[in-house]
Amino acid sequence: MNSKTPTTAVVFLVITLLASAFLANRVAELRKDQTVRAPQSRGILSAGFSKFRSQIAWMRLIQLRGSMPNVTKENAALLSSKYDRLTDLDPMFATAYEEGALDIGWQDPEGSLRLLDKAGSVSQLRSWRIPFTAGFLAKTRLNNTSRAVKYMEIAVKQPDSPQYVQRFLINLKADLLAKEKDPVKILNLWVDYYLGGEGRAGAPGAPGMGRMGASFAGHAGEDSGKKLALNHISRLSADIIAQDQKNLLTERDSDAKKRFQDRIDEVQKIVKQVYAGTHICQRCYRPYNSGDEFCVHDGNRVEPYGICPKDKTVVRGAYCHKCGTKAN
Amino acid sequence: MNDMITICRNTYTRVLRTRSLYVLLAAVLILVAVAHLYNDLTAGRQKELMYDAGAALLTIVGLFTALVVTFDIARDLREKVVMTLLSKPLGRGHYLLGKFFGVVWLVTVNMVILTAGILWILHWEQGAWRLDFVKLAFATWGAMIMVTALGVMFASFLSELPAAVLTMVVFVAGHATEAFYRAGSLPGHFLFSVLPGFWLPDYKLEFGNGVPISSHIIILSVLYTLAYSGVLLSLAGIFFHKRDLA
Repeated sequence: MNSKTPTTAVVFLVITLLASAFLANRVAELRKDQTVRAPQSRGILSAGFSKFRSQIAWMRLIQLRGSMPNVTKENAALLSSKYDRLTDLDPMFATAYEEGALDIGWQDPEGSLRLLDKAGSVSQLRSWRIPFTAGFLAKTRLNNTSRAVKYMEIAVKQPDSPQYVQRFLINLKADLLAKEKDPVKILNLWVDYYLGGEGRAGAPGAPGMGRMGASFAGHAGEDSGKKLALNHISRLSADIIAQDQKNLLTERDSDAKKRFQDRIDEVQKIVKQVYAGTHICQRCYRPYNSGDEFCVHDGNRVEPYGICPKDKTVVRGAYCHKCGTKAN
Repeated sequence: MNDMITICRNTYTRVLRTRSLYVLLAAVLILVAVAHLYNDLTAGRQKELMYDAGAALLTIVGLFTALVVTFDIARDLREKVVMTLLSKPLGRGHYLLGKFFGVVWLVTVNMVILTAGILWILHWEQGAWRLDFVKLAFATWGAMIMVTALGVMFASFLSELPAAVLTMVVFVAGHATEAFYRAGSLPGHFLFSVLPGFWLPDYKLEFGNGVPISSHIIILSVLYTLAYSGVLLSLAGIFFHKRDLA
């Protein structure tokens, strides 16, 4: 037997212990931001099998849920704890958060929001669906608009969030602003959405059309969300101007009259910006087609355009296709 | 050195003769493949299940293979084979290292076969090569080397069953040393540095969720397992040296 072995072993032990301590700290430091964990999750001794166990727990949960004819208050508490446990095992189980929140949302909306808040605390989990579901539940189940706005603001910042999330957010903000009785602020929300968050001044537009005209022409027929925004802009503008024009007729105070007139001017300026290069009805503020003499939306008489001055044909372009005269 | 290689080769070939090993490998691959049928049970998450099951079963097979060392050393001691071997000019350390490398060799072969099989199954199911699984398997391999070294250490002073049980217990508890690191206190930091951190080479949760982990971190994790295996083998050498084999 080699009597020197223990000495060699001791030396080797010290060297490897120092090396492993250094490496352990280095790896732990590097892993700090990459380790998946829910900050408030309970520690589970799962020996590295937590992901696989979460799949088993998910299958069992599906079976359990299938055995319930409906979700009662008692069931909701049980389901809530199961979903909580499942998301402790895998804090990035996005489906479990969403399904769980919707499952118990009717009976226990606060519980479902707790579950979704837990998902929100997992930094690696980037899903617009989770804050969107939270915002939806906060609005529909708790009627808490300001809380819903906070969730939706998170949802719109997530990658791949669809346009309707942003529209939902605008509607929620409009709900909040409605209490302030300032419809111009609501109008501005839709204008900002329509202009794609670029702001309303300084950005370049298509040559000869102006930026707003380019924006309008660019989206037409493509984006139903933006069409919807235009509808809101037209409707709100028409409502604001009609109301203020009525107020102008009845109001005696000159300061108030000035305020109404200023607001009319402001709204008309906004409408001109949005519909730059487009002919719009001066009552409902919606665009009309070449050759139209009356607005198809409200029957208001409109100034026709795109008519050949010579033979009165509705032209298809800048020049008459029958006689070649430049259209007016 | 040649004696150590001989022991290593003998250990490897002796375990390789066990038929149950092949059954185990086949069963694991079948289990991963049939997860493909779990569409309804998982509500459309069968792809995730296949990946996670593959990763979990890879670890389980690695663990079972690594535990062979505890039984193998104990059997040599029980059957007095060690006395015959050590009567030749062979150091106790060489004997332990031979056993260790023999089982590591076996663990490596098993894990390579399983990784290739699971990769192929995932490709068949998902239509794309999940190369992140190779990174995961590499990190798991590192952890299994550490388990083997742990098994050698316990087998150097305990009989087979307590050695195997303790190896498993330390493997499970070793996943919790993250708590010491997160505690941030000096004693916690010390414990984290000296205790086996099996959570360090464990990336199943991250890879299973598609969190990108750089190769640099994986390599450092495996280096850690190699270094810590050195600690455990040194301890094994010390304990085995002091053991009365008569």
